[in-house]
Amino acid sequence: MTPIVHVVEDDRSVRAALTRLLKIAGFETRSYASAGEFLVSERDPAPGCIVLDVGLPGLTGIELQAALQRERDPRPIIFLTGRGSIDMGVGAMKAGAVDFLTKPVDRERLLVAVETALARGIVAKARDEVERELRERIERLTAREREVFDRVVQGKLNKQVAFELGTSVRTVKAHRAQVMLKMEVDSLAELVSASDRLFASN
Amino acid sequence: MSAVDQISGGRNLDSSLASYATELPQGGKHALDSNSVVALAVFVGYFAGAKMGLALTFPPNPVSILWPPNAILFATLLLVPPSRWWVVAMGALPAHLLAELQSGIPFSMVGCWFISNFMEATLGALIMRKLGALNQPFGKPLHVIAFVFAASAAALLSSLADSAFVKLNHWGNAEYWDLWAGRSLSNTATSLVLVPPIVIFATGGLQVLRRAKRSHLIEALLLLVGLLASALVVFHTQVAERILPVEIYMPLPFLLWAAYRFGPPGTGATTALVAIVAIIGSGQGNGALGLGSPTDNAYTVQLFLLFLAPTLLCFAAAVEERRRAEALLRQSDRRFHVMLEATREIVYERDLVSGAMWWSRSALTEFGYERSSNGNDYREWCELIHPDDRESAMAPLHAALTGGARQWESEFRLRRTDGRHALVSERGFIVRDAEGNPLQMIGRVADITERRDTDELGQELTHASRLTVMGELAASIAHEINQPMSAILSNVDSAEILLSRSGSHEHELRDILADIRADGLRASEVMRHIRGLASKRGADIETFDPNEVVRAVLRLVAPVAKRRGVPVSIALDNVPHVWCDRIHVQQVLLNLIFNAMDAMAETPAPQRELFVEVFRAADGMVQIAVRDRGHGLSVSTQGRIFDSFFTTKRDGMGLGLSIARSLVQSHGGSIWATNNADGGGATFRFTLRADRRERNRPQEPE
Repeated sequence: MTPIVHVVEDDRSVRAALTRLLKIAGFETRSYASAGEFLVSERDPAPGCIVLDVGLPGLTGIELQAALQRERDPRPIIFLTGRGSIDMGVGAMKAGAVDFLTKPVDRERLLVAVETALARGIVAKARDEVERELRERIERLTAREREVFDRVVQGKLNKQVAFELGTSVRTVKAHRAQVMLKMEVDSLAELVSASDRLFASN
Repeated sequence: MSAVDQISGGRNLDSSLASYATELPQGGKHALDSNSVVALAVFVGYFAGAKMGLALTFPPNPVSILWPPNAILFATLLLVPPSRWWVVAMGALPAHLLAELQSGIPFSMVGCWFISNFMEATLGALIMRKLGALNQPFGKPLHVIAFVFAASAAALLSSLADSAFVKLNHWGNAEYWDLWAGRSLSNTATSLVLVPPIVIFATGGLQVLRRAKRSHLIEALLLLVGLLASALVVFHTQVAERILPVEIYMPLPFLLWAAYRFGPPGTGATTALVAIVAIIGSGQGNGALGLGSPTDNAYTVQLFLLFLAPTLLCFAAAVEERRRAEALLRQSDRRFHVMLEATREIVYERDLVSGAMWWSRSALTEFGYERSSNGNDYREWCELIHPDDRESAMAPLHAALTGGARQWESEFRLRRTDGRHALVSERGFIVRDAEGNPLQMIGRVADITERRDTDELGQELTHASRLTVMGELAASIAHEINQPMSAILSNVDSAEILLSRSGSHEHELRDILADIRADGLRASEVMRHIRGLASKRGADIETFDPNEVVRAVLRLVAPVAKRRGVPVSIALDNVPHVWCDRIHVQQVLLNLIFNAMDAMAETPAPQRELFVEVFRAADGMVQIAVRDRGHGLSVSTQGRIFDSFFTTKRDGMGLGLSIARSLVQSHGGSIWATNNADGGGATFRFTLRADRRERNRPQEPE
């Protein structure tokens, strides 16, 4: 699947020039005139990155970044600004932006940033898929299995789990086997890493 | 202390004499509060009065000329509230019995007389009360008249009963109406002569004497001596033939003197004195009133007193009333002046009929004129008005005078003694008669120079903040320009990439070039917009003194310069007026001055100096130079400082000087900057076109 560069820029000529440049540089692009337009567009399954103007009318670039993070959108963001301050750039970078470019945009820097972002986007996309799968699996656990899962990944022994849940060790062992089966893992180590992946970001 | 007292405060003679005011107690705190004291005082007074009355009865005339006990009763009832009149009766009855029974009069007759005497006093006091004359009964002429009426009515009515009692008791054989007339006359005269001094001295009249200064006492003594001497001459001369009837006027000057200088207390005392002297003289058949038979003499004395006492009392009351009114007037006048001084406003009054003028005391001292030099002439006042303003200053007044308006307002400059002009606002009223003819005008003039200065400062600050707004505007303008620039550059990048590749991209390159052209046009459109903004207000060309603008701007900047520790000095030459937009000049100057101060931020404090100079340049131009001791201009920046968006400041937009240049150039001037040859720093200079009419003005000072 070809990765897609999404350009969100309100100024028509800047948007056109950027998409043209990116296209000529060999990227697949989509362009949007506002954050709203981007949000309502159909979500492309392909990996990608977002070239986002900070000073958008309505929802600003920074606000859009926050909104996408809430949605766990894995696509990295490259910010563009006409008059961004250093503070704003630092904030955006901390929030996970790949780069913070001032207009007029230096061609090399833009292309490098986009390459980086796409690479990161592909990794993120893959990670996102694994997470999605794990989440689907964990959804399948029953309430009691979930309780056992939570305690096992904390490193608790069967005895402790049984005591906490007020049941026998034997029952816990049975639940635990069921959890391993449903989560499609073979070892405790795999189970813990699945848990980390799922809950690390929370 | 009475109200009059407080008002007249430290005033000497006149007012301390005037400070007498009889406030009859209306049941308030007083020595007369205690019933036993009242009863005892009445007893003593009544008894002594009766003895005195008997002493003044000269046989064979059975009727006393004056019968003091009745007057004492009357006066006491005026002094105490009705609720305690019974106390007075209780005190008087034993005295009455004691005095009369000693004289061998039958008990029933004595009792009847007490009834008729008390009746007279009660009637008199009730009438006074009814007429509302109890407050200061001898301090106002109207109250005196009320008293005369009350005394007469009481005597006339009570004598009806008295005569009847005499007839019933078969005491003597006189006719009823003779008895009535005789007693009426005697009792009226008694009341008129004796009640006033008793009431006055019982209610604080004596305090006046106690407070009086030594000079007053001497005056009073002289008066008494003169009065006594003249009274003795008139009423006691033994040789009746040598008496002329007119000599009866001899004591009059002294009586008037007493009334005028010592008011009701003086009159009360002196009238009583004259009465006693006259009674004794006429009783003994001496003097001007002792020419006839004893009965005639008694009659004459009574009539004499009957006319003398009320007249003098009225006169004294009138003087007293006038004095009180004057004191009040002085008081309000003083208040008025204190108020005027406090407000620092000038008030004047001009009589439009006579042309006379009155000024408030502080008038014109505000403007440096001496108090005494207040011109009484309206024309002098008009001369103080700035010649240019005279017409406009007078117009509203004339319009009001002719148009029938009651008020007018105007604003004009007034010359001060120091030669400067103060801006004043005048507001006035016109007083008109019933036909609407103007009689008088009253004006108030306030110095509003400071207020105006503040207003002007405010306006200037607005212009200064325009520059700040300009700065903010510049930020958004920069963005507006940056967008097409950024698009152009990206398109150029695209074209370069395309050109580096093999194959024909003619179609695409054509599109790119079209876009680049469009963005280029858009950028220049924005620039044109900025230029428009810079002169959006629309130039307001006028001719004005550039020195004035420099002074105004420096006044505006002074607090900032002080805060930043930059001493400011100026050198203003006598230059011709310039022909351009005053606000533009202010803006340019402000810009240069702020730049200069910014440039000196790193300069050590002792070396800082901001110097502004205005002088006449060649070719009919006026040059304004702003010199700083800052970091100066580097070779690389010198050529670019007036370019848009070029700045060496960390947070500058690089628009100030470019706007300054476009403003200066729009007025046909030029602006440039050089490094100072001496001592470092830079000097920014700009020129303004002098007013054509003024270019050839001689350079000598005015």
